[in-house]
Amino acid sequence: MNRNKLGKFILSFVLVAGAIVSTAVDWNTTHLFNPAWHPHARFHDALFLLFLDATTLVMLWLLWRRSAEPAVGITAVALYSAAVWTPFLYIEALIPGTSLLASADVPVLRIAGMVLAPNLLIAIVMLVLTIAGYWLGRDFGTDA
Amino acid sequence: MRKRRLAAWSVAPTVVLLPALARAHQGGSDAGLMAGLMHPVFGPDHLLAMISVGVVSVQLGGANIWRIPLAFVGAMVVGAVLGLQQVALPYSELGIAASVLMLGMGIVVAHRGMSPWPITALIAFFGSLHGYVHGAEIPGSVSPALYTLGFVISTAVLHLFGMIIGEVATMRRWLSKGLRFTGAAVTVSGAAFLLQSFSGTA
Repeated sequence: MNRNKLGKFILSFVLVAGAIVSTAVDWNTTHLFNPAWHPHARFHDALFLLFLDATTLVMLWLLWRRSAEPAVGITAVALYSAAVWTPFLYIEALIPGTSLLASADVPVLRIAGMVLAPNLLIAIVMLVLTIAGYWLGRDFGTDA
Repeated sequence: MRKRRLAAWSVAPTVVLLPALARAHQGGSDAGLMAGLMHPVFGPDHLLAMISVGVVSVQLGGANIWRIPLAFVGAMVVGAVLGLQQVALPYSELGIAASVLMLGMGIVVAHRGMSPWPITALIAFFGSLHGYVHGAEIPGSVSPALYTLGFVISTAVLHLFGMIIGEVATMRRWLSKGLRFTGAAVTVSGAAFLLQSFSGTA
């Protein structure tokens, strides 16, 4: 396996794991079927999940298709992944009244006095993997 | 061309069915998934072993980069089923500690020229032990399927971090040497876990 393939492998994992985790976390009574949610809020969650799953498949195609410009696919997937995961870092600050936590009893991590929601931690891990995948994926000349 | 068109059309039902698969868990909670995701990360023995698997797979190179992590994860799922069924497997904690020790040694000695099969078999065996412990330690009242999905994804992430570490180490000789020393440190940690487990079982 060359370095480029390893990078593509990592980016593929970020895409697939992101879609599966997001769907699994939201498709239950804490989110999509939460009776306390307004029906239109549930509609938007369903819209987001279906959109995420469909675009994930499109991105996988873009990443692995035969192309004269393979770097374009790698860059597009890395930017797509950044677009999916970076909002976790700033939505609470950008839109007052929003929360990373689905309910008050969601266990959070406390590291050096800082409160870390589990989904924020997942987003950070996905972003780190995206950067690594992009960096390795852009290398077309070295054997791994 | 026809094959590629067929492959493209086969994607359509997947798009439609993916959320339907998740709907199987409707009414459950996402706590199982979160517990599964966090379980391997917050046990230092699991964490070291799983990162080491990724490092060793890159050191062996070629198809081993995906074959070895896949062997670990596959065996882990089998072990998890045994753990979830509460099948008795004595000394599994000793085996986990031994896995850290052996994988640390693997980082020290693994290279492209050596046969990958003994290491692959050993790693699959250790994977089943890790899976067993994950399964046996499932928190009450969470979905076993979501919990398993969680620790499988988490384990794969740790393998990927190991692969990235292993790959970066190939770029400079001093990094490669440093990685071998880190492997030795992992071996020492494994020995410490082993002593701790012995004192726990004695």
